[in-house]
Amino acid sequence: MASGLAVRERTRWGGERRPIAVRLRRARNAAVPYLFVAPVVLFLGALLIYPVVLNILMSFQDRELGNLISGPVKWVGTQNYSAIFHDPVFKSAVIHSVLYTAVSVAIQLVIAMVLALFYSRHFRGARLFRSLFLVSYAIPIVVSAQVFKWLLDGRGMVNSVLHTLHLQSQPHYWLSDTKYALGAVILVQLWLGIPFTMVNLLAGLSSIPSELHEAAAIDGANAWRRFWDITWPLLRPTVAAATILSLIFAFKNFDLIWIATKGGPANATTTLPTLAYQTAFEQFLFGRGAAILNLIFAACFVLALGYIWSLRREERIA
Amino acid sequence: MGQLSRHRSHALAVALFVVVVTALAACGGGGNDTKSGTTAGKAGPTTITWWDYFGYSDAGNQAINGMIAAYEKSHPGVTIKRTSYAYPDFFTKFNQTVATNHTPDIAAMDAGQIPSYAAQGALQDMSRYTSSWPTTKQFFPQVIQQVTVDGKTYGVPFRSNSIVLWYNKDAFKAAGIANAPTTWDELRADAKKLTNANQSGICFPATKDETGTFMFLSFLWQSGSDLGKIGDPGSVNALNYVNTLVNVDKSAPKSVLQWTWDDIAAQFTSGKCATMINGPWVYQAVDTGKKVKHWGVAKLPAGAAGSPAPLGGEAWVIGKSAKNPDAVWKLIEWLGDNQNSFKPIMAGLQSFIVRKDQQGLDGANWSSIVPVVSDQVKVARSRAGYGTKYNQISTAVQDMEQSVLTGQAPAKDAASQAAGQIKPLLPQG
Repeated sequence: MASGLAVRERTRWGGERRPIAVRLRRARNAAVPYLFVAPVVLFLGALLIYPVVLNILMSFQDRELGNLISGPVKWVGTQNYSAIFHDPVFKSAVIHSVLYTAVSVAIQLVIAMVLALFYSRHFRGARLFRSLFLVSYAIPIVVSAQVFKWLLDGRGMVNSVLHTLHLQSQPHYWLSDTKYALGAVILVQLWLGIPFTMVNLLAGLSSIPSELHEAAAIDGANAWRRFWDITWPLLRPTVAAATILSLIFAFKNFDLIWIATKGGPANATTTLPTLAYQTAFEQFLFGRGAAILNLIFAACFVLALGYIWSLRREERIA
Repeated sequence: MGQLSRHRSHALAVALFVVVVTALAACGGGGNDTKSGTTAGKAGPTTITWWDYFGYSDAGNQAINGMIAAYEKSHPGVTIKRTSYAYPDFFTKFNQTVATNHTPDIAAMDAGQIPSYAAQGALQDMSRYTSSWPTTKQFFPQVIQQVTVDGKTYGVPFRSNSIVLWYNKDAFKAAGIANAPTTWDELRADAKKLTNANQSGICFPATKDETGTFMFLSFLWQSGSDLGKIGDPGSVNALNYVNTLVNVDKSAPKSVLQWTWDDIAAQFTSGKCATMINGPWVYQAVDTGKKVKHWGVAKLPAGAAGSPAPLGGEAWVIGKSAKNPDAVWKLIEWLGDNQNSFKPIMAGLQSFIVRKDQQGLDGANWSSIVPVVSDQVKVARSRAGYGTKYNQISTAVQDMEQSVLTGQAPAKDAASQAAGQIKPLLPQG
């Protein structure tokens, strides 16, 4: 609206000048809004739209390193997609990705909720412990993945603790056994994801007015009632947002699994991101890798739309 | 309000169009960029970009820097810009530069990767130089085969190695074993004797990457099989043998499914593995290890078809974007002269000879492990014959071995499944 006003004001005394100057001035004024949006559009265009479009095109091509960005290309139609849909490793990667994401996020939410409720109380040291939880977040994933690789080894600390507690007589090779490997990496994902979710939920909790709880307490509502009738309804949009963000992070997680197992043993921890990396950058099947990445992108895009929807809801409620 | 938002969306559309077009144009034109610093003319100063992955040890670093300094000194006007990456980063970065046509001029590349990169159009054909170079005839056949694709030469080998059996002499004494095992049966029996609660009898990598393939190929060849014959009794024997060590005798820990060459060396030097199969690249780590003082190396125990193992090593390559290949070749020619490079490459890079004219030269005997490893290198085989789709074949080999070791499939089924994947990927004829 402001720019519209400005235009009208200028034309009022612009009439005294020659018509060509008026037109130039008008043209310049018309360009101003375009200049304001240009940085955003440039940014999004170069870093988001261009690679996405390129990746979609590439998934219908047979590309190799030499002509990856420029040079003649061979169009192969939907061949890359049919190749991955006929690949049993791809099918198991889909199952692993869904399991990995769903299980880790579900457990993550429950534990993070309990912790958030606990640390939202005011007691000595609450703040300190709250920030200590974020330490796992400050460690690069490369480091934590390598540490967990040692901890979960046959002679690692996990086995020695379980042995000392008489919980097992034989050591388990957590990352070398197809029965346990996916569970083991989910455990590491939990360790990484819980602090993030907890901080999100804590922020949501702190925005709930304490008067509501006080009033309910005076009316004789017990803690359980107060949680379900006050905390939960007000926190639901935050939970939705935290869930969707965690789903996206877990679904596209690559470095953790790659460093711990490379998708092994016998593809037991191969997820869509590790498969895409291996296909594109180890086997040089760029078209096929792009096809897998597009499917990951589509899944994350749907989740992101869900996130935006839940944010809107949160705004409406707040 | 309505007018404003129409305004806005119009602006967005126009700007978006401009962005996409310029981005496409900028990236599309990347291929024609002139590389800064590399001048085509002979008269002006020449800058050569150089990549390697030898920064992992001081000795390696010094060897390379020393050669570069000597070349720059004897060739005024030539500047060499060296970048050293960690091994996996090297390939990630190299892929990027191939895609954007900004490859280094010269690189020291794993010879096992050369056929794939040559087929991807990443390297320059050096045949026009090597065909008239007298030294070309001196290379051992398996060494020059590594860098030859369809009769064209894509590299000049300078370093070679292979894998051997390393054993802890104190552990052998404690278990009452006098000598290193020389056959598969002896290895199995010794490994069993050496295994106890704190120590595994034998460690070797069975990882889901090229390391796992490199290791398994030696078992496969030793049993008399080959990738083209997978599914035959030899290949099933090889899978069963590995499976026996890991799952029947449990003399190899199941962690070998994750352990890299470095992880295994760390286990050996800390006394957790009484023997290991590993290459001379871990020599420094073992030699400087505090805990295991008395150790030795031996040729790999022989299977039905002897003790072959894959030939490892590096070759100088010319990147596809090198604007002045003549100048790069001059450097490679200089590096190929034993007087300039033999000693630093042998001792500094823990290498073994690659040419007939290097036999008996002073400097080859850089350590006590040299005679044994040299013996092993003599029976080592190149992987280049597997063609340009070797990386895909390699994945199938890893999956085959891991599915047997995790009990997903019996050796016979895993082998016949892998055969179906591998055969169409091998060069035809």
